Amino acid sequence: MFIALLLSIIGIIEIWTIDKAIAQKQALFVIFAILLGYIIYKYFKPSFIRILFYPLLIITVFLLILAHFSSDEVNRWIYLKFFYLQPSEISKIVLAFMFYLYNPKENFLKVSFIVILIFLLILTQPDLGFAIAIAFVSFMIFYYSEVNRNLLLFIIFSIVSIISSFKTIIFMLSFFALILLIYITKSKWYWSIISILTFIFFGVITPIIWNKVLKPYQKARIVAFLNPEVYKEKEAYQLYQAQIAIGSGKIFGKGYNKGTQKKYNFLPIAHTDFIFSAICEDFGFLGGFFVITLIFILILRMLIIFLTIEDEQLRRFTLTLILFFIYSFIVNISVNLGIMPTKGYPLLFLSYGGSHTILDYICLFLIMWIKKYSTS
Amino acid sequence: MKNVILFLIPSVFYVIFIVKLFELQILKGDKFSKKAIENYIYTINLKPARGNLYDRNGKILAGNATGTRIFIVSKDEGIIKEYKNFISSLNGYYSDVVEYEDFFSISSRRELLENVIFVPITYRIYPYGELTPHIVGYVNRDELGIEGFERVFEDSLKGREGRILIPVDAKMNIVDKSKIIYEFPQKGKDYKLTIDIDLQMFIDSLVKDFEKAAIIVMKVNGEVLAIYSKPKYNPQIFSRGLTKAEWEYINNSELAPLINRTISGLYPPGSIGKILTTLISLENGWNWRNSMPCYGYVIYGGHVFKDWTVHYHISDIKEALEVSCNVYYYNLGRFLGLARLTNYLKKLDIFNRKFTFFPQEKISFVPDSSWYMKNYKFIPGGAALNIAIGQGELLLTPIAISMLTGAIANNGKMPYPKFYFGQVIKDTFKLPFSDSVIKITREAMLQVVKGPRATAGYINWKLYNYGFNINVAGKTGSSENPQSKKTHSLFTLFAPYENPEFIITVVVETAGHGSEVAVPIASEILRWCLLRYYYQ
Repeated sequence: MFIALLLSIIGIIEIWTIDKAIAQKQALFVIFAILLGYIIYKYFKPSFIRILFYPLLIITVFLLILAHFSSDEVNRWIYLKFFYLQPSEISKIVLAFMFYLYNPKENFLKVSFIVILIFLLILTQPDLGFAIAIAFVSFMIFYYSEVNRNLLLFIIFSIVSIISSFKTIIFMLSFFALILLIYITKSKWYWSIISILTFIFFGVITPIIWNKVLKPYQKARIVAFLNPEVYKEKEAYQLYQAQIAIGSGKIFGKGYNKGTQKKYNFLPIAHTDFIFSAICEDFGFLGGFFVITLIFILILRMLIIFLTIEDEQLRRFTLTLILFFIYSFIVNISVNLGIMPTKGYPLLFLSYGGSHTILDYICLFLIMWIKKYSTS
Repeated sequence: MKNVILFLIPSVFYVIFIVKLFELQILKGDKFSKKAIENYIYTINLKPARGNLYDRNGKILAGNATGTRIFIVSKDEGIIKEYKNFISSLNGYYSDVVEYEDFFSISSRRELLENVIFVPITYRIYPYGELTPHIVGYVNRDELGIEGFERVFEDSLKGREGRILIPVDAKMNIVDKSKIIYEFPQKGKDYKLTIDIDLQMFIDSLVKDFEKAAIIVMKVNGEVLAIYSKPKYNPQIFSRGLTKAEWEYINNSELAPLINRTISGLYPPGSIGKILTTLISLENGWNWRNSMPCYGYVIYGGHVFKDWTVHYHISDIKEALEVSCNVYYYNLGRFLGLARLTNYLKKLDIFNRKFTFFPQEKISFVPDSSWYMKNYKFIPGGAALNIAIGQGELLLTPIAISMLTGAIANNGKMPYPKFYFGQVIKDTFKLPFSDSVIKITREAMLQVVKGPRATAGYINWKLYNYGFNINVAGKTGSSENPQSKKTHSLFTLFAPYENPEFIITVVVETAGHGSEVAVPIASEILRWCLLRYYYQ
């Protein structure tokens, strides 16, 4: 809790240098989120989950569909009077509730259907970053619930097929690797045939999707990631400027509010996705190290709480929430450091944004509630 | 196992992040700092004023004019367009170099000033234009020295660049005008040339009837007073861009105005070459008192070698030079032989070295037997005879002729030409001949002007008429010109004879005999020099 609050304060301090109005707003969000989180912490009961799950699922799906009709180019937000609601954030809670209620091993089809529905709705917004978050978290929970190993293998190879389909040689190599793995794991014959057929299907369909379906800016982002120096002036601009911002901070940083990259708008969206770069520019390696370490400790503490839980349902519930934090940590900082392409995923507790701040705190307080609940 | 993976995933990324952070901020920190500065500092380079070139009396040969240049600091198309429209409305066209009045018009529009930086600029001007291009040279549009002095001394003339550093944001808006840093440019070094632009102007008036000429006036200490080459051109045209007519004129291969004929023009020296033959013959034991009849020709190897007139009797070598008797020198050529004559010539600096620092300069040429074999496949029987009278394949530049005359005037030594004050001259042109040989040649050259049968007697008569009591020594030359029946007219002199001060070499192409054209011009130049520098 205190680590999270410290991170939020660091975030607000940094956002203050970019835009004071936004920083004030973020402070209000944090206060509101903590109050809301505290109420949840105080009064939450496991029985609520069963009552709330279906209404929440329906509302989320409804809002996700509604978001498709918003006037924005990227249909990610729904405008409410006081702030933009990002319905995809709510799906975090929906997933957690779902995994609490249903064991994926026993209710495989039902769980898969809901996951794929939410995944597709978010993917088509399009919000690739969040869609992958859903996929990542779900996959991990499946793995933890000991869903059929063949099935997981099948999912992994579908992804490998998509990635490798652009280079024939790599595709062929992956194909042989798949056959080898099927042989080693001694999979059942119908799983083997389905895996191989799917592998070929994705291998053929991906180039077609790439050429016909994907929007140019999505393609550009991926291409820019592969070759940042060449696309410096265009899409990799964001990545490159973030690297300049971080690198130019050196050990001690340029000093508070002295980062030129951020101050003169070379660093794009510094208050949301690239806030880590802004912090690194102002406070240098020490600042960056401090923030990364804080988040890391926060995640470790959550994982330790997770280990103490014995109830299987609560374990899945907790893990879902923690995995979203881990995903945020990995993806956002990787993007800032130029390890991954730009995906537009906020950094937990630090980035500006009403929906994600409130949901982060709700998740955090839920984990705290679980700790309280499981020990009592 | 599953729990280990759970802890492993964030831990692995944590380590990767720290390593990457270390790489970006500590290993590559300096590189990215530089990039960050490049990002937000917009740099305007300020060109320095080039160093001035003065003539020996302080008149500006190459100077600078000033103007104001506008830099629009913005990426916003609308803003840029608004500026361009406004400036266009002042003059009717758009140029980033604005006039003095426009500067105030722009300053009066405060909202326009937000995104604009005024930078004073200088550009090269040549006040004497066509009088000096061959020595001063010229600069191109980027103010880079291309020819002449401008080229040779580019490094010290160009000065040091200055900069204006403007902090801008990502959209190229000026962030804070008070934080603009000015690093002022440093003007290049000035040079004071030994040239006298008044003399140059006077020479220009003397050759106005001739198309091509090359004239050098030197002092005995090596200072070059005038270095004049015609056809001339205006050096200003290159910095503003050539018109079609100008381009055609400059590239006319027949006129070749860019060539500095005084250092790059290779001429058969004509009878001036006889000075060399005189020196070598005397050095090789020819008695200067040897007399000879002249019937107007000699026959050698079955060929007739003609003289330009019948001289009947030549009493000694001095008289031979005085009347410029070819027959006498044909015999000297026979006496020396091709090998001995060319070997001696080749020892001279004239045929081996450049006298000036101008890259354009060409070295005078003397053929030898191997050259004949290579080009003609045989050695012409009369080669030595032709070289002895300064014809044939022997080629000299006017600067080489001047150096030769200067060395004879100066008892065998002549410092290399000096073009600007402060130039350190280490080299001296030395004639490898004994003092007595040089003395006799000197006397012979006096006789060319003063003797009873003098070919350049005009100059003596003219100076006497002008009221000067002064002795001049020199030698005329009329070199064969393949393009015309008229010969090139050459004359070289030094004066005063007893205590030499001036060396003048005049070459006028396709003008006639040396005594007809070059001698009168040289006498006017000498008179000017005497009045200006000798009888002060």
